[in-house]
Amino acid sequence: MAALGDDIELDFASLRDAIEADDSALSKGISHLEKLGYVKVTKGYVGARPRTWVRSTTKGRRAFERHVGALRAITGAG
Amino acid sequence: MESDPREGESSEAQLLRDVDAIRARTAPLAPRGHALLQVAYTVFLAAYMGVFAFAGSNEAGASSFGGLTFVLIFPPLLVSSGLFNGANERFRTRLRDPSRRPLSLGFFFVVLAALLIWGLAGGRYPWWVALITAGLTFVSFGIRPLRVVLRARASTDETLTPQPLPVPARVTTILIGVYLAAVCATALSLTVASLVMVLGMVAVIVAVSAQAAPWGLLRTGYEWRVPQWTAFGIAALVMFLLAVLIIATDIVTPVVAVGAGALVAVCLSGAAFIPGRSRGTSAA
Repeated sequence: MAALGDDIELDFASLRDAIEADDSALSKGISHLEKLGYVKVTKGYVGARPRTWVRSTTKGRRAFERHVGALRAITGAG
Repeated sequence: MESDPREGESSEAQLLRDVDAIRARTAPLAPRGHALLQVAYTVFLAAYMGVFAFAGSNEAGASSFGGLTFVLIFPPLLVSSGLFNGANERFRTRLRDPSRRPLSLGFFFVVLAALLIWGLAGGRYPWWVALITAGLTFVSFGIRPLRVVLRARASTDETLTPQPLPVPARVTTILIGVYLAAVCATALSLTVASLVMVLGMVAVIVAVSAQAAPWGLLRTGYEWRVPQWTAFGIAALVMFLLAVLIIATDIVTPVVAVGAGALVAVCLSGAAFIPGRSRGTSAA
């Protein structure tokens, strides 16, 4: 969620590189977040190859900000 | 995915550090290229709305609204939707589609419906309403991508090498030119122009539906680069200008219409042979 800012979509490879994850872990993570309604997935084609783009939803961004806020409160980071 | 914990660092602090690190890695991925595409499409859409509105203004005759004007301005809009959707696929980072913003889309359709109903009811308005319509269209869809273009730095990556268009995309580009040229050349005969437009629309719908086909509009839009987009912009401008001249003046003769068609055909056919998309996807 940290990588998915407001109003932008990242393709699968860019997202994987940004969070330094492997394909399998990222796929599972995206599926889970999509089920929760935190991200939306768009499928398309790059030439003849299928590609996936991911973007955050308003619900997802709010949940993430609440989570970050809680982490800051715990660590006293403000 | 997670960084190594530092000595004495709580897991919550580590998570916060990971969040900051990820945000730092994604900050340079501003979708400037995609934003540029959206700005260009918004300019095109604004021009379309401006001409559409002009057709219902006091300047226009009773037959222009929904008749010759529509025949000239609708084909570029229809073709462009497939091309732009294909071009969208090139970008690894994209702005959220503005047409998915409920407010923008709702506003757009309210304006379109109001103009249509007003025109069909025989009402007229001053010509400058067309300019306001065009401006409001741009504001609705173009402000956000324009802000991204102005804020983000242009990529200095020069490793992308222009390549000739693949043959299927080249053929489709030429056929787009022939179609739009035929619409221009027959513009003064509503019956013939409507027939040409409808026949072309069937072909366009087929080309859009064939999503993975190398000759499809999506794939062609994906392969296009600046020369092809420039040629399409010129072709659309010629058609919109022809529509405005037909509405507002008497200078459009069959020779002028054929000449406009020839210009459209030359632009797109010529651009079909200019090197297009680089191999590999745009990093922007």
